[in-house]
Parts: sequence; structure tokens; C-alpha cells
Amino acid sequence: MKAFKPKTACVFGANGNMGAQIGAIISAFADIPVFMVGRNLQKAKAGIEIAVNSVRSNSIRDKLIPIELSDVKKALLKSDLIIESVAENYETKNEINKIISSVPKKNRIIGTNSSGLSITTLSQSLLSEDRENYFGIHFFNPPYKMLLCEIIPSKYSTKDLIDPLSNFLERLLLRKVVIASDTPGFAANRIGFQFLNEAVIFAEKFKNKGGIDYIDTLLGKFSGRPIGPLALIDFVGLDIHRSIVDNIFQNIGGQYRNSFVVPEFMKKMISNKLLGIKTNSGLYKNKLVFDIESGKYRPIKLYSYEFITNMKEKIKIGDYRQAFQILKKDRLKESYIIRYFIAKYISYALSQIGNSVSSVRDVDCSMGYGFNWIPPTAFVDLLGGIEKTTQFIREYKTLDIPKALMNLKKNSSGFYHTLQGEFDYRSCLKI
Amino acid sequence: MLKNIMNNTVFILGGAQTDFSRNWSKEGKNFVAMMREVVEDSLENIGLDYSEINNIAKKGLLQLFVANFDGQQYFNQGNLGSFFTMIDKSFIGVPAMRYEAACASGAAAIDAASAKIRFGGIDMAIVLGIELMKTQPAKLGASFIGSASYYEKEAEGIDFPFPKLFGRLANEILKKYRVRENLFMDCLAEISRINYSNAKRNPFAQTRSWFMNKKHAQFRKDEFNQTIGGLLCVVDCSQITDGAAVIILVSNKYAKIFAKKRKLSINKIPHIKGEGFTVAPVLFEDKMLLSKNQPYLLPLTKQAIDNAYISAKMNIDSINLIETHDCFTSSEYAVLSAFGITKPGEEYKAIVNGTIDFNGKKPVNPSGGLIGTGHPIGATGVRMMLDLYKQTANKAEQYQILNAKNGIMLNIGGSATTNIAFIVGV
Repeated sequence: MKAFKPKTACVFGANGNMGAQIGAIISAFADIPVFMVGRNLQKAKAGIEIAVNSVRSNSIRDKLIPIELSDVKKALLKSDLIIESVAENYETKNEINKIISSVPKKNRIIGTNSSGLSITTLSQSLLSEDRENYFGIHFFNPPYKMLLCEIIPSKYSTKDLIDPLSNFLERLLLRKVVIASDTPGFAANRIGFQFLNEAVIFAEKFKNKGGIDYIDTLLGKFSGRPIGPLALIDFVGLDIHRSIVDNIFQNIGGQYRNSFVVPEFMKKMISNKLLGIKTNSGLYKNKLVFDIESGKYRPIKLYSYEFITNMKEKIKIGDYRQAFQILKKDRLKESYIIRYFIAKYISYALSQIGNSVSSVRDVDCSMGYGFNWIPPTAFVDLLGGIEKTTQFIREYKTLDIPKALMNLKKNSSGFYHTLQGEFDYRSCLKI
Repeated sequence: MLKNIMNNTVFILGGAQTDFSRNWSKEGKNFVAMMREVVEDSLENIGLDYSEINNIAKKGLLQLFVANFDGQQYFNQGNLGSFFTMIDKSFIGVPAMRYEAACASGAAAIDAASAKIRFGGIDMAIVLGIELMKTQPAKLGASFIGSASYYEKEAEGIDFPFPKLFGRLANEILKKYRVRENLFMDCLAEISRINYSNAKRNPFAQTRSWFMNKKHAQFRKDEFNQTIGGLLCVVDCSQITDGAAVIILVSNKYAKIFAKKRKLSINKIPHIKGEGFTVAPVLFEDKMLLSKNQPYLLPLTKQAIDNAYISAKMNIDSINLIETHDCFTSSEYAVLSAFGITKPGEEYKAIVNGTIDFNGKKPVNPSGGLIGTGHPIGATGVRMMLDLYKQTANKAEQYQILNAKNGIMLNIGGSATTNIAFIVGV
């Protein structure tokens, strides 16, 4: 296949938030009809409303065709791109794969929007001729705003299809594509959820200091993320967080494995249905925060540290290097924690090259476009180059200096940041 | 007067713009951060450092020009020129001030800067256009823009006064040229589509990841594309934007030294070839009175463009691209004939036959224009000249027009009250 330009697409799970929005993006940007499959017609129609609202245009409405699962055969006969975005477990996804394979069709691409299940395992529920055309095609939430899309080939996937698929996603759907290995969490979640879960671990470790809001104060906007990591987990859902992290923990070894252990307090919250935004209570509940020590909600505290105030003053006027000089020089326990998280982020992200991804750019794309976090190599520029970044990481004996860091090369404009000129990392440093 | 204006050539070394999709209020940053980032990016792009800036400043040959429409209302700050001193100590002691001519503030600052260079006063001018608009809710922010018209008579007590003024312009086009309304509205939709589509190639454009196609542009008056002024809907408007842009202008003398040091041919450095500057009556109805019985709807806008052609000894034939002031689709439509692309009244032809498309004979707004790139008011004129620089220096990358030698820009303030055109080329 030289070029992949589907004429019709079909989205399973189009009644769900992600499925609906993926359908919207395909029909809007590729300008093609999309069958929106739901368990029943009413659900499929509800998905269309979500879709139209997500790209804010009625112009796609007549290209979104609601269809119920029992009637999906006629949709499959016409579709040359199929995206499955149903519940994140093997059982449900395998059921859909069997339905897809029951309607044979040549030259189609089948993708799963799984956020971390093994693509090779999933593909085994397809007939062998479909396995070759099956990929993880992983969008990020909300897909209209988060541009990352991971392509994950299984061991059966036809390699020649990767380029045409990638071109379709990049040129027509305006995605930023990363080809990831079929490893737990793929590219972005592997790195992002290491950080998120370690923040949970630290919240428990420092529960006497305040726990959840204490850690979010330290790892919030001014250090390079749109919201604190624990507040983000409330958006993701504690149960989803756990399933992603558990899956990574069960399938990897090595020195960083322990950062994927979900602390007991969170497991308890999940069994008590405190799942985050979707249940109106999670790590936070309105203006309250879950106090790990007492097991009760309490008002959010305002923590104040002079070095953070000074960093924010510098960020406000755009003097980012000075802000990080302040962070480097400070000797409080709190600045030590922030430096540790940044150092581990750089070290862990770059250590993924050769494992879940193949290039530095892949790592930067994953974190920039998938999480809206400062890409790791932008930190290298902010910290003053390779040598200074190495010193920065060496403060922590447990952390490795990844080979990829030592091998970084400046681009023609003198930056290590591989997305220079397309993704302005300074926008990630907020107050 | 016009003949003498281009005596001492003004060269453009380059510059930078901020990513117009950023919301600086959400980032918690103020105008100083924006000024610092865009100045540092400009120096990096050009390959200048502060020691060189310091050298020129010490000789008294540097001046700083800030284009800004309404810092006082949007972020309670005047005297923006003085804030260069917060960016680097090299700027302490250097003359600096703010220039204001509504949405044409950018070109007005370039006019002042290039005049000072031409008359031998300075060797280098840093022209910085800036506007932070997302500091305010949309309706209040829009009411501030009302002061670009005669506020008392045309804006006071009116929600979104400018869309309404340019909606009137759309009506005047229909009335004067008797274009079929269906055809005209389709042309406005096409102008919107082209600008959004061009913006997809521009990594600094506000709307580069937004969904837009012709069909959406034609879907008027629904909940996602509401009427905002007469015939005009949301898709016809440029959006509220935060942003800054810088260009660095230098004298002939400095350009020679700069080129020699870098082993460049001075012929490859874009320079300002022509300029036209007119002011029309402030009130929209007075403008329309003036154009009665005249072929052009906006005769003084046409005059500014003509003056630019005359001073450059050029016409539309030698222009490879146009950056025009599409604050609304109607303002782009109205001036296509003024550039000389079509006869007055036949603007629709250039749209229907693809002349103004990215791949057309006279591409208009390859950057995405104000509709696609965004319109941070004070920055827009500077952003336009930066885009002419990038195109004629062959540095526009994904949105490069092949073999672009000359480009023309039109920056307007008010309801086509202040009209400033520049021709840039190599």
C-alpha cells in the first residue's frame, strides 16, 4: 500500500467520550463518512452529539451515521478504516475483534484505541489475514486538543502499512505521530504514569506534611505541567490510573518497577468508589482534599515556600533560566523533591529510547503533545546543557544517566529541544 | 516627496513572533515575559547577541519602537518602550517609545523606525508589536477595540462594534457592485477557508489545529457560527489573540557590515522597497460618502497601496505574494481590487478562479492572515512584515511561496481609517 486514504470509517464504542471524539476528528479532518457504532441506536446517536460538540461544527453531522452493534455488518462491508474504542479489557475488545473478522474485507486498517493492553495479544482474537492490518492507534484525551497519536504495531502487523497510516494521521488528521513498541503503556503513558504514580507514592510518604495537596503544590504548573499530577489523576479516574499502572508493573522488570506500585490508600479509595471527577470525589472533592493520614476530606492548604514564590516571580516575567537557577540553589526538602522528580523524569524518559520508542523526538512528542508537559530535552536547555543536566541528575544516586542524554546533539538553532520551532515549551511553565 | 522617500535603503535582518495560540493570562505571565521571549527569539534567529546590541547602543545608533494599541485598558500599562530595560541591561539608555494607530499600530511603528534609519539618525531599529488581549472577557475586550473607531458615535453601548462596522462594509460592497448575494457570501466563506487552510502550514498560527472547511464556513447562523455583525458570522472574523512580533531594521551601512561578517550577499537581504500611508475620514459613513461616484469602495486604502507601488516603481505584476488585513472576510474582499489583482467590482473573480489561493498566481495571506494566524492588534503589522521578510528571504519553510522576490502588505486601523502599505523584497 503506497497511500492510505480511507473512504469510509467505522468507530466501535462511538457512544463513549473517546470513541465519539475520534469519530469526529476522522469525519471532520479527513472529510469522510464515519459509522458510529453503539450498543444500541440511542447510544450511537448520543455519541454523535458529543462528536459535533467536540469539533464545534454541524458540518460533520450528516457524515456521522449512527448504527447499533447488531447491525454493524453493513458498516463493516463499507469501511476501510476501523477504530475500536470500547472498554479497556481483553474480553470486551476481543468480542469486537471477532465481530470485525466475521466480515472479511481486503485492504482495510483496523486499529484499537487501547491505552496499554498488548496489541499482539489483542490481535490474536482476529483472523490471521486481519492481524496483518491491525495496529494500536492510540489517541489522547481530548483528541481535538491533544495531538499525539501513537501507532503500535503488533508482531503480526505488516510493516509496510506503518508509513501510509502515519501519513494519513499526520497530514489529514493533523496528528503528531509516534511509533511505539508493543510494550506496557506504550510511549507516553509509560513515561507519564511513572511520574503520576510516583507522585501518589510521595503523597503517601509525606502524608504527615499534607500528602496530596502538598505534592501537587510542589509539582504543579510552575515546574512544567498544566495541573498538579494528583489533580490530573482525578481527571483520568483513579480506577483507570490503577489499571494502567498495574499493567505496567506486571509486565516490566528493572530498577524503576517500584514506582508503578499503587499505594494502599488509593486502592481503598477505588473500592470505596472515590474515582475522581466522574464520581465527584477522588483525591479532591470541590475545595477539599483527601487527607491520607486521617482518611477524611479536609480543606486544601495553602503551602508557601520562598523559593517557589521567587521562581514564580521569574516565570511571570519570562526569565525561565533564572527560575531554574533558584530551584537548583535552594536547600529546602521541598526543592529537593522537585529536583528529584525532574531529574527522574529526564532520566526515565530518555532511558525509554530503544525500549518503548526509538528516538529522542519520540520522547519529546509523547510528553509534549500527549500530556502537554515540558518535553524532557527542553529541560536540558533550561538547565544549561548536557553537562549541567548530568550534574543535576547526579544529585540522586539511585538515578542513571541515560546514554541518550550523553549523545544529545544541538539542532541548527542551538537547542537540544527536538520540538524547537513547533512546540513552545515555555508555554508549559505556568503560574 | 514620494520619490525621495526610499533614498536610504532600510534592510530587514529578520525577527520572530510568539506562538499566537498561547494564552498568556492562563500561563500567568505578563507583557514583560512576552517582550523578553520575542526579543530573545529574534536575536537568536538572526544570530545577534547582546554584546553586539550593546556596541550599537553605546554609539547612540539604536532605537526601540513598540507598537501597541491598548496596553492601558488590556493590562493597565503605558510607556511600554521603557520595559525593554527589564529585558537586558544593554537597553538601558536607549531611546524607546510606544506607537499607536489602532490596528495599524505595527505598520505605524515601522514607518517611524524606517524614517529614522533613512534620515541617518540610527543604524538599527528594533520594532516590537505587542498585544495581550485575553486578559479580559471577550465582550469587554471587544468594547476596547471600539476605541479604534469614533467611540462616542460608533461604539458606545454597542456589543462587538467592529464586526458590525465591517458587516456594514459587506453591505456596501453588495450595494456598490451589485454582486449576487449568494456568490458574495460564498466568496467570503472561501476567504475564510483559505486563511484557515494556510494557517495549518504556519507553526505560529493561532488556529493551526482548529477544524474548518468550506462547508463549515458556509454553515452560517448556527450555534457554532453565530451572526456577529450584519452578514458576518464568527468564521468571518479574526479572533481575540495574545501575541507579539519583532523585526529588526538596519541601515545600508550596517547591513553591509552584517553581510560581510557572515559572508552573505547583501542582495539576499530583504529591504523595504516602497511605502504608502493615508488616513481616511474617521466615521464609516463619511468614508462611504467619499467613495460615492468613485470606482473604489475604499479610495484612500487604494491610495496607500498605489503610493507604495509608486515609491517602489512597481505594480502588481512584480508582486509574488500579499499579506493583507483580513480582520474580517469583508475587509479582505474589498481590497483585492485595490492591490490591482482585479478591476473594482470584480473581486469575486480572483476568489472563484483561485488567484488568491496558496498555489494561485497572487497568493493572499500565505501565513493564514489575521483570520488564521490571529490578530493581536498591536503586533499584526509587525507580524505582516516579518512574514514578508520570511517569504523573500526564503525562510518561510512549510508556507514558503516558491521564488518569492517581492511581497506587499496592507495594515489598516479603524474601519479602514489608517492605511499603511509596505513593499518588501530582494
